[in-house]
Amino acid sequence: MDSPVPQFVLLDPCPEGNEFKSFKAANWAGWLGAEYGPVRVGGKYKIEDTELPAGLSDADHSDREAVRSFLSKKFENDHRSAVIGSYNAVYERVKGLMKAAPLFDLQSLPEADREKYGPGTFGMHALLARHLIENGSTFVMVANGMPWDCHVLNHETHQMLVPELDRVVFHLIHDLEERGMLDDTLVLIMGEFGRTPWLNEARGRDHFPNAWSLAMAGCGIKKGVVYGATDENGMAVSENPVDQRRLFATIYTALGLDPYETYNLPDFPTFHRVEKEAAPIADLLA
Amino acid sequence: MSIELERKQRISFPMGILDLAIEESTGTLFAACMDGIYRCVFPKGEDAPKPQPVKIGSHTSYVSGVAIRKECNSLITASYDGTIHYRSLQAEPSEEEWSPKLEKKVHGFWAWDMALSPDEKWIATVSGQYLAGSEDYEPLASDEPTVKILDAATGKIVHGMNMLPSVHCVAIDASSRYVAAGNLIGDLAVWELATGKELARWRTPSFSSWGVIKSHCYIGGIFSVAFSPDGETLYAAGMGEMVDPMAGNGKQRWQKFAWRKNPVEKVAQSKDDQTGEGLMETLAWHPQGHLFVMAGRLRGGNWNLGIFDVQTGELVGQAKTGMRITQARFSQDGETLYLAGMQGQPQPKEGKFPAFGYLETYRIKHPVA
Repeated sequence: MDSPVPQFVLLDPCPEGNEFKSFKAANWAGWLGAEYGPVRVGGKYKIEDTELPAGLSDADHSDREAVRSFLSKKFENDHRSAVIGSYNAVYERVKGLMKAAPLFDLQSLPEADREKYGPGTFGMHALLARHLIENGSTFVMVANGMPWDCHVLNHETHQMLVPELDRVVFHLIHDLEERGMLDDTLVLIMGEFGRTPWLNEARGRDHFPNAWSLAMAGCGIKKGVVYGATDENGMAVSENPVDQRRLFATIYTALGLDPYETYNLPDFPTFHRVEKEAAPIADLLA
Repeated sequence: MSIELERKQRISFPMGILDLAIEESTGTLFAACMDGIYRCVFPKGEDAPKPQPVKIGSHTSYVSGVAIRKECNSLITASYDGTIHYRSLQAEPSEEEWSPKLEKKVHGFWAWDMALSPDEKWIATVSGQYLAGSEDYEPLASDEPTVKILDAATGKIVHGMNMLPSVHCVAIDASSRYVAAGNLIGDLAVWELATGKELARWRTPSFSSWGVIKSHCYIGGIFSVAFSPDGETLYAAGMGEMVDPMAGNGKQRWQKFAWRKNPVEKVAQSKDDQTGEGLMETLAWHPQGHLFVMAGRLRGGNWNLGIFDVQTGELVGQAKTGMRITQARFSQDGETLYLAGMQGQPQPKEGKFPAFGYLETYRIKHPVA
């Protein structure tokens, strides 16, 4: 928790202040507990308010933290509450963030890199993701989903989004390869559903889970393979359908992780990473 | 004053219509559609059969503009493929696909809109790809001019002007002296057609959204511009700011500018208590000049076609058409209003997408004195 390099980072252009604030603030780690949730960063690229106030020495800060920690732990024990445990974990996370803050300073990265990935927020976040992975983070999620939620003005928005995604992903994969990191890093480009093949009246395309695609590159994945197909109009999967279980079995396998490992948590049924019968997609694995 | 509209005809097209050109002397209408160029002949007489649109040609992408150049009996079209085509109107009616007699690449990106000057000497086309130009996604300036003026006789580009992408709309005034354009971020400009000289440029913040909630980029902008008949003022249409850019719920809006003033002055605007929500995509002037129409999509409210009194700016007529309107045109006598557009594209049935483009004609019912 107090690692100087956060292991799970979510870079989000809208980290707060929107209609999804409560959703985004929710416990993304589910049964595992909030301490396994992501460090969320976005907007200004820096982690704010991580420096000690003027006049507060390191020793004073340490003493205050010891008192807070003692009282909090006592409260947690007295109430036997996992929620309070998660809350206390946040303080541990803050300690880590205070150490990690310089990692999130984009200005410290070469200007040529910022020009290459920028100037939009998505590109800056992808560059930051590269930097975090290079420095030991294990999972960085770069969110840019909301602009793609084109219920209106699909073409008008895609004229910008498509070339940006194309350019940024190219630089990211190229840079990882150049640094010798691509064999150990899986780049996954996906949403949670596709868009209708037809246009709505607002010049937009609505949610469409029936047939959609994603891209993977890097460790454990064969290059240049297209797996699956849709019919001519993109209405349905016509060849090699893949469900979420097989997708995640493939991801875990590509990363060298056991897809079928289980977790036994108090008061919960056994949690499977992926159910046994779901096989990874052999055609995609290197 | 209250004006009513009576729908006379509804003709379906395979795909959405983006622009219209009407040759009233022959009762022929040409439609720029997402899938090509269509010709539709209106038989004369009350009991005449319903007109059937016939596809006469295509571009490699959406056809965004169409105009008839009577002087040389040509049909000119512009497209998202960045080209303009000239086709002869003397082609045999039985010939379904009319080959272009001239194809000209005008823009490296989509030609969003096209206008032919009333004197038929000039064509104006607008383009520009919105790409991120800053951290907060202000548009990046285009490498090539986004507004181009062509010699209508030859298709030769004679002037190129710059405006931040994407430039959605263009209009030429009744005297064929001025051209105006509007873009994504609310920029408007007026140039002299003959010289390309910029006469005015200003920005209105009233039509563009920056995604506070969802999308940290720009959405919306100005989707139609039109000079008043005297050329002294310029009207712009679109929709107002949206808090959630993906809701499409900005206020239906027009603004009127005295573009010759320095600085340019906004002199009127649609009244919020008379408008609903939805993108407005077209402006059309009644031939007598006392009324104009603004139309587009109905997201919320009572109408998607509003008729406005030029003097007062008041809404004096309205219609709810049940389709997104992309173009409105009055007949020369002002008695008929042609509306083009589309509904949401239906899901395919038995492997085929049903038709979703529509042309509607309305009779204007003027108030009885």
